[in-house]
Amino acid sequence: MAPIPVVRALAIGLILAALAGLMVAGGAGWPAPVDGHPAATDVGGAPEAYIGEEVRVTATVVDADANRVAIDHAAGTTEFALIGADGLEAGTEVRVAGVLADARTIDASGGSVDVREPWERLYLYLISLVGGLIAVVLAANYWRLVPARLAVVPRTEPLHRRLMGDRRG
Amino acid sequence: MIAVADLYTHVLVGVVVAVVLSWRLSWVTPPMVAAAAIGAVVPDLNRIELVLPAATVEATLGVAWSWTVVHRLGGTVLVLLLLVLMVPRRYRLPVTGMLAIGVMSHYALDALLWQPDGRVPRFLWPVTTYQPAFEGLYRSPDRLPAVATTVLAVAVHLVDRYVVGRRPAARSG
Repeated sequence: MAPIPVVRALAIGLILAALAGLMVAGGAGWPAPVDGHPAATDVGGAPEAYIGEEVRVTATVVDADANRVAIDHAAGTTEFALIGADGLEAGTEVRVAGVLADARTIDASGGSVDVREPWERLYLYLISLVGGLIAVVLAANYWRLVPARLAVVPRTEPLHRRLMGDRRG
Repeated sequence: MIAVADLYTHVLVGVVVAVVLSWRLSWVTPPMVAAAAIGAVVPDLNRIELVLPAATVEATLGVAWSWTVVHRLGGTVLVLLLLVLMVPRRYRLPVTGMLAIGVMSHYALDALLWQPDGRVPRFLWPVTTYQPAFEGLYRSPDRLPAVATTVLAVAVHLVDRYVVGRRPAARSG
């Protein structure tokens, strides 16, 4: 068995460490936040910290008549009053861009409210699954993993040809 | 992650670009087309948020965390570096090129999306927080991109097989 490529292993470890470090930095907003707005989970979990700020959140409509929406976060769900939206349906998802007027109110009158139907979410999920599968199948068809060498090499013969047999006998 | 083009469109566009390039560049072989497809997926690896939320990682590890980093220049570059490192030396340059093509096509499509605040997300983080104002051409759950891309992919495949593939100088497989 060929020896494990030490240099490559070290380099991979270094890159993974750098990636983890960057994810920590991004999470902490260094050198700047990854988004131009606070994460929905932050707004939902600790809205007091963002009063007066522009927010972009995905929320679920809980009361269509009273224009109330709920945002999921780590510790549960927080309800907000939504200003500047009408014709909402309970149970639908809305993407809101607005200002956090107070700890329980989002003012979207100067922003936007985009309704996402339930079937749209399912569509996105399914079509993305198909897309991901296409990429994975293409990769598996033309590339081969060599774990012992921490490598991925092009196949000498594509998988589809091998699986379907050599028709030229 | 609330506004992303669907992954199917991303992958297919990456493949289409790669196949078209293969008509001109002999080194764009099927494994290279696959690399472009993978590149088109890389930024959307941030979707791991759906199965392992950053909030959970933060609570477990006691540090800040953001998967969004992978949907930004900084994280994407590192993931690409990781992939290229695992490929044999003689393939590294072409694979880098194809991964980059996949990645850039991904960001180009996402930049055209409608965003609630009318600004393109800061894809160039951490280099810059630049967010150009742009009204957006389509929304994530729109079907038109997937349909249009499918039609385009079929057309490109047909040309690839029946026009380019029949030329005397055509490569095999």
